[in-house]
Amino acid sequence: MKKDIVAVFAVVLAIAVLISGTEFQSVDEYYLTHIDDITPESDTVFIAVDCRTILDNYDDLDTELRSEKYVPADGIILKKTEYVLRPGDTVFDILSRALRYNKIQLEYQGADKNGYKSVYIQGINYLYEFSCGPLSGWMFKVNGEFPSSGCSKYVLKDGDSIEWVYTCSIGHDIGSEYNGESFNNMK
Amino acid sequence: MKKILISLTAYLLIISVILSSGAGISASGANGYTQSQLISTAQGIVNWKKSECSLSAGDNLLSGKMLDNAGSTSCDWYVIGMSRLGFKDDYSAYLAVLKNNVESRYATGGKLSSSKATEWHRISLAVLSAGGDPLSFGKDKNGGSINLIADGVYNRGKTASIGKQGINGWIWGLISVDSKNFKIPSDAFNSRDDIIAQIIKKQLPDGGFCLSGNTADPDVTAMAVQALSSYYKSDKNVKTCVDKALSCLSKIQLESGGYKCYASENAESSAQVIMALCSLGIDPQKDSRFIKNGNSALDALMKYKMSDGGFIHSKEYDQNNPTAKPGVSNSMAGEQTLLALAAVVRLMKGESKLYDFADVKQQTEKTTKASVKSDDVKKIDEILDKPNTDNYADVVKYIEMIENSDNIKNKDEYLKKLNEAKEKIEKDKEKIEEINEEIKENISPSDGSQPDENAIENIEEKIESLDEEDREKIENSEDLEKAKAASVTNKRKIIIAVSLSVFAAAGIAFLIIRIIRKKKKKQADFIESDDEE
Repeated sequence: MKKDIVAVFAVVLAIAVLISGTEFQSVDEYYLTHIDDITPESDTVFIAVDCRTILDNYDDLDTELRSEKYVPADGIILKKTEYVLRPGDTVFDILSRALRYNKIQLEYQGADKNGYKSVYIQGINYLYEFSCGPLSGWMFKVNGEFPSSGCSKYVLKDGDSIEWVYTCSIGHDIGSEYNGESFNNMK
Repeated sequence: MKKILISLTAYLLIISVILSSGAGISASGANGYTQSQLISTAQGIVNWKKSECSLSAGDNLLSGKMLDNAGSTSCDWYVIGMSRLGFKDDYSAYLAVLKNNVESRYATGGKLSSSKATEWHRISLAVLSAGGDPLSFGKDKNGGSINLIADGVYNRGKTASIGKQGINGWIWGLISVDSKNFKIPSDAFNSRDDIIAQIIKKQLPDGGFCLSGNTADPDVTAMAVQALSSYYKSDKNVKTCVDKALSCLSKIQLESGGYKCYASENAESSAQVIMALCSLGIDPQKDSRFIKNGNSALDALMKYKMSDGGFIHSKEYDQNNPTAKPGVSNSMAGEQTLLALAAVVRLMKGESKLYDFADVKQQTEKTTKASVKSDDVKKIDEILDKPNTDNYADVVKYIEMIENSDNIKNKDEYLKKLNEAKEKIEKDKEKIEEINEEIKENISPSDGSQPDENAIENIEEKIESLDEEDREKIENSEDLEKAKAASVTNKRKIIIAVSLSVFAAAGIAFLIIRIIRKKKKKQADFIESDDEE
């Protein structure tokens, strides 16, 4: 009789575990696999990438890029998306992660190859600097402002909203009020 | 040189931080600087750059990391500046690595760049500076010799307009064809006249030039003057254009002698104006049109010198160049000051102008034998012991050195080993790129699907086969770690589920058997008791 009780208990337990799930992880594994899960406690930032200015300057665009594959009909390459902010993440880290996770092409120049000592974004989704005229290229805004440092030097905080915008006239067409500033992503 | 334009035109938000100290030499008014003062200032810039690259003053600047960057803006302008000042350095190592880098960039679709002709222009000037020949510099993938002047200037238009990036493409294109008075064949896509006309056409009503808008930008104006300077005496239209540009530069000069590009007075603008004046034979320290309140552009430039020998971009925080911190020497300010100093010193010595390389002998035939020192042999042995991508520039350098020397024992054996190491590193570089691509394609999370376990194993194997130092070159390895953890968790989940199911099934079976047995036993007991009755 005792044997039966133990057996019943074991079976019930096994089934209970099976029903409740068999995912057991070490702390490290849990951290790694849940690092990008957005919970009410996580710090997050938003990122969007758009090239709407090209729609108004289509004639200046390199002919081989005149396709919806490169310039989407609405000009939006990545709609505003929320990502977990890891400690120390810069604008470049989030851009790289967001584009990677969405399988969007990115080309950049490493910080040691230019005079700025910061990563310089050359192309996103095959749209490069000068792809749409001599004053065209990528710039970024954080919370609506064009920041004063390079993208791999700008450390983000919870709730920041990044916009990568393609300009066809060194910023004038995307609300940059400064006369000369050009491709701000440049660092 | 495009970079300066970008830098000067690049940023936002003014925070005025006035420098309180460290401004180095104080201006003593016009006519102040002697040749030797300027040369020692230039030497100071080179030494500052060396210390920035963790080298000591006795080392060659063209070694290690700096050599690796041959063919990029952060390196090439220093080579041009140092060479034009006659400073000693390892130019043959630079030339060997540059050739190798150019060849590998030529193997890609856009060659040196799909949009920037100025890549060819800067590299052409650097090749000349180091004693090479831009008309025949390395081999393309079909084995044809590379002509940087044809591909980057007169036939550039066959691929993309020289001016795709704006006026600086035309300016630097003209400077490069004139750098050694290169001939342009009659069937070329662009003639000299085309290029000159393109520049003149872009002059603003105020006499200046700019990237966009309609007010003179001192940097672009000064560069246009440098380009047109070769035709000042021979071409009337050019003379008119340059004279107008000069009066514009005289007019916008500040009381300090310096120039403002957009919001901030800065070192590079003064440096470019100095080069422009020198290109026409005008002494910036003597011509009254360019001395304001007793200050020349050179006086203004010298105020940016720091106690470490380097130069700063601006004394204010410049929103157009945020990475250039006030008070911290800056690589771009240093390289352009070096070039400006070279221009002034050459003018003082009566040498040809900065970008006129008629005076440079090409090393078509190696006249001097390289001598391999015992330190070199030690370094070579070290590299051969553990070749990795960090040593690539050194391997290329030593192959060149040994090929041109006859004082090393086992010359052929060393050459063979070094070439093998070069090949191995090239393969490893490819492998690193492959792995990076595979991680992006197959491992980085998208749409929540689980990356393939075989793909993970495959990539891990490839990483294992790399040299330890090179493993750090794998980008986004965090994605791989994540995928691995997810895969391990998943595997474990399945194993636990299966074994628990088996266990539960066994338990149930055991119970059922026990129940059946009990029933049978009961029945048997019942029958037995029946019988007894």
